[in-house]
Amino acid sequence: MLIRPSDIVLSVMLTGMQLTLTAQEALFTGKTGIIHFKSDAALEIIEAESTQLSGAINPATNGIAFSVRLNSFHGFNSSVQREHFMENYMEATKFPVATFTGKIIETVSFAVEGQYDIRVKGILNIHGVSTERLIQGRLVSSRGVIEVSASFSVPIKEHDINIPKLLSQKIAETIYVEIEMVLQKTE
Amino acid sequence: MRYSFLLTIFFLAISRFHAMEPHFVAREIDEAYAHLNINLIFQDHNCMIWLGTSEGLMQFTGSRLINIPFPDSLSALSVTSLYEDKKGTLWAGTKTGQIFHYDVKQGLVFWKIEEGLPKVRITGFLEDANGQFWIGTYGEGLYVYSGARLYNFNRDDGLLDNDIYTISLDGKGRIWAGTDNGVNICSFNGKKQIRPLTVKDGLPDQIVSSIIADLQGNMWITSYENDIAYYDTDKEQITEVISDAGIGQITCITYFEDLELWIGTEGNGIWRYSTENRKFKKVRGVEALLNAKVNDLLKDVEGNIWVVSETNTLHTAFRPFETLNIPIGNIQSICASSQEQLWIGTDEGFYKAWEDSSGIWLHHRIPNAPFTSVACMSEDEFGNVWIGSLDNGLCVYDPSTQRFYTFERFENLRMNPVISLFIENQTLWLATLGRGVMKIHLTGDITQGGDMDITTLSANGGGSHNFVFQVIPKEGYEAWLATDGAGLAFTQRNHIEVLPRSTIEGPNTIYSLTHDGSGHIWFNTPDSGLVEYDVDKNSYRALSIDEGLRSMNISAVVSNTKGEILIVHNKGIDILIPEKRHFMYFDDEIGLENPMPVLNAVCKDASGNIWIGLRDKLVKYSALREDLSIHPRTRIEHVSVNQKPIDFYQNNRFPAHQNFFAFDYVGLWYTSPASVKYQYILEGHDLDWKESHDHLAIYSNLKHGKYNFRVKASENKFFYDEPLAEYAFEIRKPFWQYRWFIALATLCVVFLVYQYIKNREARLRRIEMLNKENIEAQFRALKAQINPHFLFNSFNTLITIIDENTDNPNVPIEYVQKLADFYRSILQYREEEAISIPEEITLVKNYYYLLQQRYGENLRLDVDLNGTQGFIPPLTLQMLVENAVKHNVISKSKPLTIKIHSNNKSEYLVVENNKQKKLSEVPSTKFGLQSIINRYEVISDKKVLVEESNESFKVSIPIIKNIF
Repeated sequence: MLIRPSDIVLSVMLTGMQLTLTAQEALFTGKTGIIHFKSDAALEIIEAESTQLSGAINPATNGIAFSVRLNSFHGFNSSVQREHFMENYMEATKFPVATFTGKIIETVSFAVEGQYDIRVKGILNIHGVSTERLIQGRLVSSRGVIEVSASFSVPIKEHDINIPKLLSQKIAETIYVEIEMVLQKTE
Repeated sequence: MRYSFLLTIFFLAISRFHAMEPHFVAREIDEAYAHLNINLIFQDHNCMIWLGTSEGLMQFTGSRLINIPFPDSLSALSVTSLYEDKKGTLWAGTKTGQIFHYDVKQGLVFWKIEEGLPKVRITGFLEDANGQFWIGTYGEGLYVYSGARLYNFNRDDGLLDNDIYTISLDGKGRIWAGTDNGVNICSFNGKKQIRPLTVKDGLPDQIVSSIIADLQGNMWITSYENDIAYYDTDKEQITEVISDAGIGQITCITYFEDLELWIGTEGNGIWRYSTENRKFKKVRGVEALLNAKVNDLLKDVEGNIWVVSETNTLHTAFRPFETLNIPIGNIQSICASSQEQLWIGTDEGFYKAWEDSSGIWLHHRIPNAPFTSVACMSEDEFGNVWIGSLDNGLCVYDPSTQRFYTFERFENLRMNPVISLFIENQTLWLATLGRGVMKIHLTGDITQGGDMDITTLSANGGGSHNFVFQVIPKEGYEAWLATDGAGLAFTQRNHIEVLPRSTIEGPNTIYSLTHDGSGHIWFNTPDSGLVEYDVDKNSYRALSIDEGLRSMNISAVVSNTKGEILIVHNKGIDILIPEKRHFMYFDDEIGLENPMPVLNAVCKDASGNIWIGLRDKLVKYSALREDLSIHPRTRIEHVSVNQKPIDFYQNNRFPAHQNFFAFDYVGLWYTSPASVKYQYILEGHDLDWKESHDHLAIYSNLKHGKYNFRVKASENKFFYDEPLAEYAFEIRKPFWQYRWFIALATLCVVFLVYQYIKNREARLRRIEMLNKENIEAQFRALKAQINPHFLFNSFNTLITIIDENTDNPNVPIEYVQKLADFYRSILQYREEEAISIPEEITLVKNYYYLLQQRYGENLRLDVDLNGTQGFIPPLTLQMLVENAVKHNVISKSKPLTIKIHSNNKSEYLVVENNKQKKLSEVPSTKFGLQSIINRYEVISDKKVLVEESNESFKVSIPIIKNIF
């Protein structure tokens, strides 16, 4: 299997989450989550999606981590738009991966099937800049599978994404992000 | 110098009183809400008291409890935290983590933020100096909202624990959060800063239940059990730990600056800690609170302490006054000693009273006193008590040796009852009965062989002032005197100077006097009430019943540390705020029902507290350092128009039909809600203020105009300077009273009249035209018919007929008859406007008969009307037939057929003929057809239709269905 940079980041992040895994403790992981963002600016809408969101949840610590390679996003209006977005705004060559790593505030019984409204407190890293965030989401646990969905806003200023004044009407000050993914139990 | 002294025998019969404490009143709570658990109490900047209960948020006005509903009918949320931010928005947090903000317009509104809200109990809100909003939770640590983002502080960030009991703001703008593991001192400026304060730092216990800041920004920290620590934020350390094993678990705390901590406990009632004498004592006055679980305490802006306990009651007490019943005969004088004891003189003895370590007052009678009835007392710098008695003159008591001293050598001192005395600067001033005012210079401790030098003061000008009710110190080591008859006097180098008689009416008798902080002397006289004497301006000013004084029967006046004047009288105690001339009344609410005051039985202790002796009661007054509200806070709560509540912050213009106004207001005076009275006026409607006890004012059928509703509340029935609440609004004129409408209406009328006139003229002109047309038509018809040509033709025809019918004279006779009929018809119908179709047909047939005699079979007339009814102008058909005959060739080879029929809807009569024009055109004025068209224009909406083709000529004449 090909090892993608986002997987390496994820494993590093999970290690950083003080995972004290014993043989019995299981992680929930997934590699095919959907992440979608939308920038609704006056002159241009930029919208794209990736189906290569990686994620992991450690039920023992309530730890949770996600990562996505920026070049896996597709669905831009045009290849020009994609290139502008990736290179001018996100500087994807320099910062190829966006990550979030944190901890679920609520107590979730992962073994019990059910639906939980959760908030995750953690660090969001986009464009190489980390900000602490509280993100609301929903977690559904059923038969060894966990489904997670969330939506949140990313004010581009918080991540030092600088937009030349000329282009300020082409990208929104706040980008809205939605994620949705299924994580499987892995021993 | 020799004195006689008496040895007292140790024989102490100590009696226990109760605790001296503020008088608690249980606030009645509506039965409908009696089941509620009150979690907390809060007062906003408008003075409104809010209660967080197990079933939501309540406002308490002192008399009414008002439920503030949650949005979306969330009803049973338990409110666990209340806070008002700097903008005046009230915040409410619940047991399950919901957060609401409140304003008058929208009510409670759910707080929505992207990060979502906590799911655990909200334990506190705070706004720091940077405008950041902090939220304490029990289970999720601290949150801080920067204005854009919500951040969380929990154990992962170094917080000692996620269960936060209490949060508080210190003088340096930091947030203090009390947990089970100590205090976290937190701040946030993009980075989280947490400083722990734990047992290692001197905290007496790791569990911190309550933290409050004093005015300096230093912190009082209560531990779970028994202990309270004081943290100095300048020194950044705990500087004091106080403790009492009896307290138990502490739930809440509040602080009267430089005076007292109030401590609520979990099942052990309320405790007080005096910062003056560093003693804890339990509040014992209310049975229900003795073992209560206290949920919250509040110090309100009037100086009341509020206790919210698990008993579902609210108790309040006005903190400045404390009372104690002491049934030891009739108290006549009291004296606070520097040893925290109180000397009490009655009409039959001399007592010592003191508070034990648990706050219980004890007393015992000092035995072997050489007098029975005490009039006045004062303590000297050696701790000796100088006693002015009524039966044995001046005496001294030395508490250390428990010995009495009398002055047998000095007849003056022995025999003369002493009414008033004070000691200042080693000088004892005496007001005696019989010997006037004496000044005694003391050298050394009198009980240790000290000396006395007595001077009897005489009045300048020779007058005698034997009777002086009170002496008080005057600056320059002199004395002010309250004389019986001579008014206000003072001493000056062994003389008495009497001030010029004041303009104050009545006998110039002064019973009691005091001076405020600004050099004014206040005294009372039986006829003028309370009088202020301005020393600099040498002017008097009286405040009597009309100015708000409650009773003329004053027994003592005394000033407090703020320069306010306490007036003790038979109805209670009034406090006068001199610069505002505002009196506040106290009686039942501080536990004084029917007080029995005693002349000048008042004294001050070393801390500035005022002690007041009533006949059977002691009252202690402590001026609070806090700026207290002295007036009820008046607010307009709701305005409804036509019985519907309106947003009166926004709306102040109403249409004319919205003229039924109801104003709901409240005067918040929690010290004594029942005494609140209102005065209101609707400027623009009322001529004068109206007084009312009700919180509603209703006005119906208000006329248009500008109004201003003003209301003020008073707790003492006087409305001189009470703050106002007001609401200005305007009812607009009904639309028909506006200029634009009047102008428009006038225009309309003018236009209508103009139209009418114009129509009338047109109608007249039409009638005139019609008449003219008619006349012309008749004239034309006549002219046509008596046209010599026609007559000539007719006569020729007649001749021919006669020739052809010589054997049959009936034929020419018939012809002549028809001719005559025809002319008669013309004469008959010419006056009519319209004739019926059959009549016209008859006429046409007559005419046709005449023509037929000339043209024979070559002219045909087909009439097919199918009984069509209606009217047409006379001679119309005849004229059309005549035209047809006139303009067309009629011969055997070219016969002319004229058809008269009605169209299918019987709307028109149609006269149609085949067209075969004569080669030589008959000269025509075209008058005939045009005349028909013109007449129809006048009498009918429908027009005459003329259709001409190569083959035929067709004229359709509208049938008139009804004539007039």
